[in-house]
This record gives sequence, C-alpha cells and structure tokens, in this order.
Amino acid sequence: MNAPDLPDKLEAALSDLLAATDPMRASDAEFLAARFDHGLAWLHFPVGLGGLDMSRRYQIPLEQRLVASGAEPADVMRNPIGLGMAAPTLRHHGTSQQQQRHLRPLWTAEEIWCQLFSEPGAGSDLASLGTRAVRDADGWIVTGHKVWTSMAHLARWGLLLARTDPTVPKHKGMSYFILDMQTPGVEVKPLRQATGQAEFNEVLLTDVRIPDEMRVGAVGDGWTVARTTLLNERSSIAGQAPREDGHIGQLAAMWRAHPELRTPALHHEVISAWVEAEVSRIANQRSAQKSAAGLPGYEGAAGKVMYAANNQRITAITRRLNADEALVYDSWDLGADSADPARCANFHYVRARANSIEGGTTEILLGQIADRVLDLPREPKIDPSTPWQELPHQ
Amino acid sequence: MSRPLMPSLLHDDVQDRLREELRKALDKHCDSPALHGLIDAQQSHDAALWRLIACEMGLAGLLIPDEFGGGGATLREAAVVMEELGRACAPVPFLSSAVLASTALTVAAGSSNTSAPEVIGDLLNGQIAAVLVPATTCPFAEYVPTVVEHGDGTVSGTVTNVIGADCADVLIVPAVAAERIELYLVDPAAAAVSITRRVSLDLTRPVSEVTLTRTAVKPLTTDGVGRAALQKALEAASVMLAAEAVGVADWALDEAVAYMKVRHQFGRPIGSYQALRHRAAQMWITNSQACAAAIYGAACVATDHDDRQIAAAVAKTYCGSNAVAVAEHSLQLHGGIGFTWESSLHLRLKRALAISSMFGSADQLTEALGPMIDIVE
Repeated sequence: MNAPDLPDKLEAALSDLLAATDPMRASDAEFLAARFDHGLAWLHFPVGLGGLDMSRRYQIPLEQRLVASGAEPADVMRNPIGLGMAAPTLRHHGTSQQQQRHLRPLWTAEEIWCQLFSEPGAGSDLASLGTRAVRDADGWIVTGHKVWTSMAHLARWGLLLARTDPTVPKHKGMSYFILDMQTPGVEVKPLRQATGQAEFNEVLLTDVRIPDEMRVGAVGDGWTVARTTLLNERSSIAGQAPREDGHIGQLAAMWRAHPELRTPALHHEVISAWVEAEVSRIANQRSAQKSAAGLPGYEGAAGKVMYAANNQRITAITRRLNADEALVYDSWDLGADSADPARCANFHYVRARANSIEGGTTEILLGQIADRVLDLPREPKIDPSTPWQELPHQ
Repeated sequence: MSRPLMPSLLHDDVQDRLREELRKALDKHCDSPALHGLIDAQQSHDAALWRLIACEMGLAGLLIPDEFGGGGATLREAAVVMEELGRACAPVPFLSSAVLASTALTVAAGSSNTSAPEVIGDLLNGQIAAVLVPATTCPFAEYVPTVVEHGDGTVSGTVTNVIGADCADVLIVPAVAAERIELYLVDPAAAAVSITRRVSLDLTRPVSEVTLTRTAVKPLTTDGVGRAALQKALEAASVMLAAEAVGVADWALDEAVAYMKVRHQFGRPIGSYQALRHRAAQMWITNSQACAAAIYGAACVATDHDDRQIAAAVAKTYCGSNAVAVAEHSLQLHGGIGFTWESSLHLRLKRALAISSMFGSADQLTEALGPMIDIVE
C-alpha cells in the first residue's frame, strides 16, 4: 500500500516523532505516549492535548504512515469506552484541568474507563435514572445502582450520570461526573448473563464521595453532556467489511467443510441468510459512502437493527446445522472466554439474543426511525415537563 | 471468498436530474385515473406516455451506444428510469424494448451481415421491439429456445409469457439453429405470427403467448453471437427489475406513511399506534437495503465486473421479495380501502408479484446462487 502524503505540519511532526522514538524498539505504551506528546494521537484535538488542531480526514493516512514506519496498528479496543466516549466528552465539556489530567493516560490505556449510565429501572428510558447525587460542603455524595457496565472491573475512572435535582423534569435534573473507581463505597460485581459468563458488571454506589472538580458541565446539564457521550463516535478505520465476515462466514465455512450435515431445507436457509448478510454488507457500504460525502441519513440505525436480526437468524441456522451438538454446551463457567471464536454454536445463539437489546433496543431504534425519518405521529406519552419525583417509578 | 471491490453506491447529479424530470412527467401523465382508464379500456400500454418518454425525453435510446446514435448511458442511468417507472406502475414497454431488445441488438450489431443497426435506428425513432423469451426464464440457468430454425429461413415454435409482444413493431426471436442459438427478426403483422394476449396478473404489463408457424425471418446474428446477445439481455433485464422493484417498494411505503398520518380511528391518527409505526420503520429499513443492493447490482453488470452474476442475483432476489412484502404491508396498513379496486395499491402489489416472478424468481435464484457462492447441496 502506498504511504500517502501528508500536509507539511503533519510531516514535520511525524519526522520529529520518529526521530525521537523508534516504533520498532519502543514498547506499544511508549510509542503511544510519544505520539500523544507530538500531537499525533487524535489529530483533531487541540495542541497540547494529543492533537494538532487538524482535520480528522488525515487520521487514517497518519495511521497508515505509522504502520508503514513499523508501528503496530493502534488498537481501538485497548480502551474502548475511554477512546470512544470519555475522550470526546472531555474534549467538548471537560474543564482544562480535567483534560490535562485525563486525556494522556486515557490515550496510552494506562487508565481504563467505564460508563455508568444504565440502571435496573432506567434502560431504554435512561433519562428516568435515579442514582442520587446530593450536594454537601466538599462535593457530592452519590448512592445508586448501575448495570450493564462494561470494563468496570478494570476501570480506573467512570463516566457517571446521576440525579442532582428530583424536583424538576427528568431531562433537567441530572449532572455528569468523573468517578474515581477506587473511591470507598464503589462496589463492582460481575453481572452474569444467559451465556454463563459475565461480560458486564453491576456497580453499587453507597455514599460515594465525589469532589465538585470532578463534575463535567454545569449542575443540571448532565443530559446534554451525556448526549455527546452517546453519539458513539466510531472512527471509520474499519474500512470495507469483507464478504462473509463474522457469523455468516462461520456458517458458510461449516457448510462447505461438512457435506454430511447438509439437508435440502437447511440449504435453502443458508443461501437465504447469505443473501441477507450480503445485502446488509452492501447497505453498510452505502451508508459509509453517504457519511463520507456528508449526506445525512439514518442508515446507521437501520444497520444496527439488521445486524441483530441477521446474527440471530444466522446463529439459529448454525445451531440447526450442528445437529450433533444441539443438546450440549461448551462451558457455563463464569470465567470462560466470551471472545473465544471457537465457542460452540449454542453459545453464539444465546449471545446473539442480546444483539437486539444492547446499544439501543430494536424497538427503540424503530421508534426513532418512525419519528425522525418517516415523521409519523408520535405515540401518546407522559408530559415531559412532569417533575421526576412525580413520575411513576418501579 | 474473493474481496469484490466496492463501486460508488451513490447517485450522481445526472441521475438525480433524470429522476426529477421523469417523475414530474409521470406524476402528470401517469396518475391513478390514467392507470385505471387504461385498464378499463383494456389497453396493454399507454402509447402517448411511451412517445413522451421514448421520443421526447429520448429514453428509448438510453442504453444504445452513442456510435449508433443512442444516449450512450449505462445500466446505472437505466436503473433510475426503472425505479421511477416502478413507482408510477407505468404501462410502457421500457423493459421489453429499451432494456431487453436494445441490449440484445447492441450485442448483435457486432455480428457479421446483421441488420441490427437498422433496427436500432427504428427504435431510436420510437418503434417498439420485443424479444420472444418467456419472462419466467432465469438468466443464470441454461435456456434453450422453444423456437427452431428450419434451415430454410423460417422458424416455428411457441413462446409463452412474453412481455411487450402485443405492442411491438418488430419481434426479435431467439431460435435454435443447428447447434447454435441465433437471433432473428420477425414482423409481428405477418400472417404466420399469432400473438395472443393473456389475461394477466399485472394489467399494466400483460404477457402474451406467441406462436410462429414456418414464419419467414431475417437473421440478426450469425456465428453463434445469438447466445451471448440473449444472455446479456437477460442479465440486464434481471438487474433492471431489481431497480424497478425498489421504486414499487418506495411508493408503497410513501403511500402507507401518508395514509397513517391522516386516517384517524379511536380518536387519533393510526400512525401513532406503535405496532404500525414499527411496521413502517421496518419497511423503511428493508427498502434502504434494497436500494443499495440494486445499485450494486446495476454497477456490477454495467461494468462487466467479476462479481456481476452474484451481484445481479442477490439484487433481484432481495429487491423482488422486498417489493412484494412491502406492498403487502402497505395494503394491510390501508385497511379496507387498501383492498378496493379503485385504490391503486393492488396494481403495485401485482406489479411487485410479477417482478418477483420475472427473469429470476427467488426460487430459481436460490438454485442458481448455490454454485456461484460455493454453498451447494
């Protein structure tokens, strides 16, 4: 692949970086730190905070040049909540102090981040959350219960949304905090799921003390800050997804390798599922092209709904194809690895049931499409100006 | 599995302008009263509308290369036309004449001693051509013509389910000639030609049965070029029908959404009921997917891309099934009124059904796709 040309300012910074730190000899963490210090972490961030105040469109060419110089490709999964959620939130809403303290170790993944939003009583209706933050002389005292928290067991910091005023409408009574996960009163427990494993945690907060300097945005402005967090900025480093990616690839491979498992009925189903997966692949490409061309669209929501539907359908067929293994499972143990690609067909089937729930349920997404794309009449709902404490709660 | 390169899946300015112009014309000249008028009069096509589209707008020659005086456009532009014609359920022989016949003629023009350029000239003047092949033919399975050339300049045979034959000025006949497939020209007005329009499911694009009895023909292809010409025409028809299906499905969704906003029951618009909102949102999702699949199919067939057969088969099967499903849902969402003859919903449903059965049904394509993608029984 041809290493692309970069603007002069960027070329200069890149030369300085490579002169100071040899990617072939430095550790991944050392090289990441050096990138930050030379403004070559996230280009669109301000100077001094890992960026050069440049357009994001140079990010991918930069990554390509770094790889061409011998660096390991930067792994987005080293600190997914940190990179995808905390960083943009701090950039747009954080104080200078918060940015200085947190962005560098976030980037290098020395400090891992988690997100503390959902609660047992507040999932789709996140704005109804009830974790309470009460003001006292030194800051805030927080009590509540968060669920479906990924990375909490590894995290140093959390993005916390809590209710600071129950007497005003729900959207106006929340504030946003950076939580030190080592504070007394923070209890992280694995949240065991239907697959037997725990990819997530629940976090119990009992009289947890948070200094006011850790608040992000004004008191009562938590929802506005949270919307930045939830914008789900995913860089398009992913590029073109190949044909037969993911579960459909596994199903196709199994079909080809095991003629003895084939039946006429399953043959029809496999081809049908292949077509659906292929159409979704093309549709996602179109969505990415529209996005790159600056054209608006809700194809992202469509993509998520179809991803879940396709996965559920494909994993169901795979389980049927694997008839001999239909009644057994590999491991229900809490400690088994959910990311192991060799997990059994029954594991993938069960895990896929969550695809239509996590990150926005299919039903909520359909409702958003109905509202924002089709402009259909809204469903009857409770007056949004009702004070939170007067709303019916479970 | 190979990694097929991804072309642009966006429409360009030329295509947007073409769409706008055509939609304006169709909104004016192809509304519901016009469609019902045609059906009541038992006409098979709207001659005035065809003249407007084919001649005034020059779309008869859209796919004809400019070296023959045509528009020199690609299947990507033709796809936009097909979408709009699908939306309007337009009763014009664009598919049969401007896609199928034109594609066959363009390939035939490469044959020696052919009269293809002359016929192309006629088409550019608004004459209508039809290819005598059953619309139920799958482009990806071996097709053997049911018409035979006797070795003496005459042909005999019967071809069923032919679109566009009853309004054609010239017929293009694929026939078995010794070991080869060749194309021949027949005058539909000749005595030895019998064209019987069937009572058709889709009254806006009826099918006919055509019988030739020792009919005199002029050769259009020699040296076996007929097979290639026919194959290319069938593939073009298939992928263009995917685009037409997208237009039908978009119309069906638009109509349903518009109705749901104004129809009130139990004191509120039916569009405020969650089950119906969600159903409409699902329709939008599958329509946006179909749109992408159809563009990819057209792009691949247009450029003779390595992936073209898979791309066309995937587009046709997905878009065809989707149009039927969305038309069905739209009828349901309209309640009783959706089931009346006066409504034009049933016309779109029948058009969608016909599309799904033409030039690659879902069942035929499931069979054909298996070997293409190495998922065999």
